[in-house]
Amino acid sequence: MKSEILLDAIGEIREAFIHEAAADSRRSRFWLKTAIAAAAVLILCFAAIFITRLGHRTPPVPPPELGPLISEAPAGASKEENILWYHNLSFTDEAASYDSPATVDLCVFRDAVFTDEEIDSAVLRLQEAGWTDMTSTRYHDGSLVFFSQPERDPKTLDETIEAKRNSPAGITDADVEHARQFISDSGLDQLIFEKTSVTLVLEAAPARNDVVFYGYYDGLETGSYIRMSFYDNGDLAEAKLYAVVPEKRTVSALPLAEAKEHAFRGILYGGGDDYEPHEVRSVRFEYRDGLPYYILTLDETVANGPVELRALAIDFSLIENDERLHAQWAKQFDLP
Amino acid sequence: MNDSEIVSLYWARDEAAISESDAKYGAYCRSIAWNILQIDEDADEIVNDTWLGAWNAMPPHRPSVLSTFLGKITRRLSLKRWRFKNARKRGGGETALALDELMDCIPDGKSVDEHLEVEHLSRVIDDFLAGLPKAERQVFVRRYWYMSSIAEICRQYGFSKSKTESMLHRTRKKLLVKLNEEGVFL
Repeated sequence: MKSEILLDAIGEIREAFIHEAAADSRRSRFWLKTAIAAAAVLILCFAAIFITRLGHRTPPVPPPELGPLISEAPAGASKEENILWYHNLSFTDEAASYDSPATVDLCVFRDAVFTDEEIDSAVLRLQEAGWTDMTSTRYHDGSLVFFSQPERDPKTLDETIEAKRNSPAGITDADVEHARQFISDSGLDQLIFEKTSVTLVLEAAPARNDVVFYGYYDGLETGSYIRMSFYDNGDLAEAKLYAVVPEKRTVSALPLAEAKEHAFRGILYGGGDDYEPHEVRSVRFEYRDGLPYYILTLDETVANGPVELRALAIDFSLIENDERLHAQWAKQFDLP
Repeated sequence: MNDSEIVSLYWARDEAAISESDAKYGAYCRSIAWNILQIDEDADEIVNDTWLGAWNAMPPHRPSVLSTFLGKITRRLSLKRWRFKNARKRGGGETALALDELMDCIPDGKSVDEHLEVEHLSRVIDDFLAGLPKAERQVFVRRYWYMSSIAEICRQYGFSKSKTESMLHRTRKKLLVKLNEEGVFL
C-alpha cells in the first residue's frame, strides 16, 4: 500500500522532531501538573483569607485565570497522568453494607523459565507429529518462547493474503482446531502444568484474530498464555508461549471503608476522562493480576457501560517493596 | 542512570543494559508499540524485541539520543508485526486509521524502488517538517510517528478534536503539495 511507504518514511525522520514531540508533550503535562498544584495552593490561600474574613462577610473572588485549572481537578477526585483517583466517595445504603472479608489471598506471578531441553523436546514431539521444519527461539530470559514453521508456498500465501484483505476479521473454527492440535502434539499444556500448576483455557475472542489460550491457577487469570496464528494450509505461522509460576499467600484484608479512599480508574489510550464523582451503587470483590480488589460500580454510565472503580483490598505496604507484585498492581492502571 | 551509562552497558555486553533500558524507557516504548498494535501481549513482546534489537545494534551503534533510538526500533518492529497480522486478516486500530489518512498525501504517478523511495521521502518530509509551525509539526509527529489517537493528542496539547483534525488535514494537504513539488511519485 502506498501510504505504508509514506509511514515508513515518516519513521525515519530527524530524531530532533521525534524528541521534540515527546519532550514537549511531557513538558506540557509537567506544566499542567505544576499549574494544578499552583492552583491548589492559591485555592488554599484564598480559603484561608476567606476564613479569616468570615466576620466581614466578604466573599472570596478567585482570579479569573483559575477557572479552567480548577475544572481539571474537581473536588472528590484528582488526576495523575492517566489515572483518576477518587476520594470521599459516597455510597448507597446497600453498597455501604458490603461485608469486607477478614483475609484475602494474593498471588505473586514469577516468570517461568523454560530450558533448552524442554523446548527441544516440544519441537521434537511436534516434528514427530508432522509439524515439519518447526523452529523455536527462547528469548533472553527464557520466559518467552517463539515457535514457527516457514511459509511453504509463498505464491499461494500471497494470493490468500490478498483475498483475506477484504474478508471479515476473526479466527475460524479451523484455526481453533489447528491450535488444539498444536498444543496436544507439542505437550506444552502438560509441560506448563508440571512447571507452574497453571491450566490453559481457550478464550474465544474472534476480534483478536489469533487463537489464545490463557493460563489459570486456582481460578485466577495469571497472565500466562500461548497465542497462535496459522496459514490457511494449517501450518503454524507463529506461536508465542509465556508462563508464570504462581505463589499464593493469605493476608489480612483492608476493609472497604479504608480501601475506598484509594479508589481509582485508568484512562489511558485516548479514553475519555470526563467524570463526576457519583455515588457508588454496588460493590463486588475480584482478583485482577493476582491481587484482590473491591470493584465499585458508580451510578454513572458511559457509552461502554457502567463506570467501575477499583480499590486495592490489601495494605499497599504489602506490595510496594515487591517488584513483581508492584508490577502486577501497576497493570491495573493499564499503563504502558 | 543516564543514557550514556546505559549505552556503555550495551557496549560492555552487560545484560544490566536491558533492565536499565526497561526501567527508563519501557513505558515509552510500550506506548509506541501499543498505539500501533493495540494488543497488550503484542506490545509487551515488541518491547522485549526492542531490547534485543538494541543489544544487536550496540555496538557498533552509539546513539546520541537513546530514547528516540529505542523508539525507532519499537516503531519499526511494531509496524512489521502489524503488517504481518494485517496480512493474515488482522489489524485495525490507530495504524489503519493513520494509513487511511495518509492516502490524502499520495500523489498520482509511477512506482519506483521502495527502499530508494523511503530514503528520499524521509529527506523530503524532514524538510517539510522543518518548515512547519512548531505546533503543527508536533501534532503531525504525534499522529504519524507515535501513532497517538486523536483523543490522546487533544489531551496532550489541549486542542479540541475539530481543531486537531483540521490541523492534521491541512498538514496532509500541504505535504501533498510538497511531494508534488519535489516530484515524488508513490
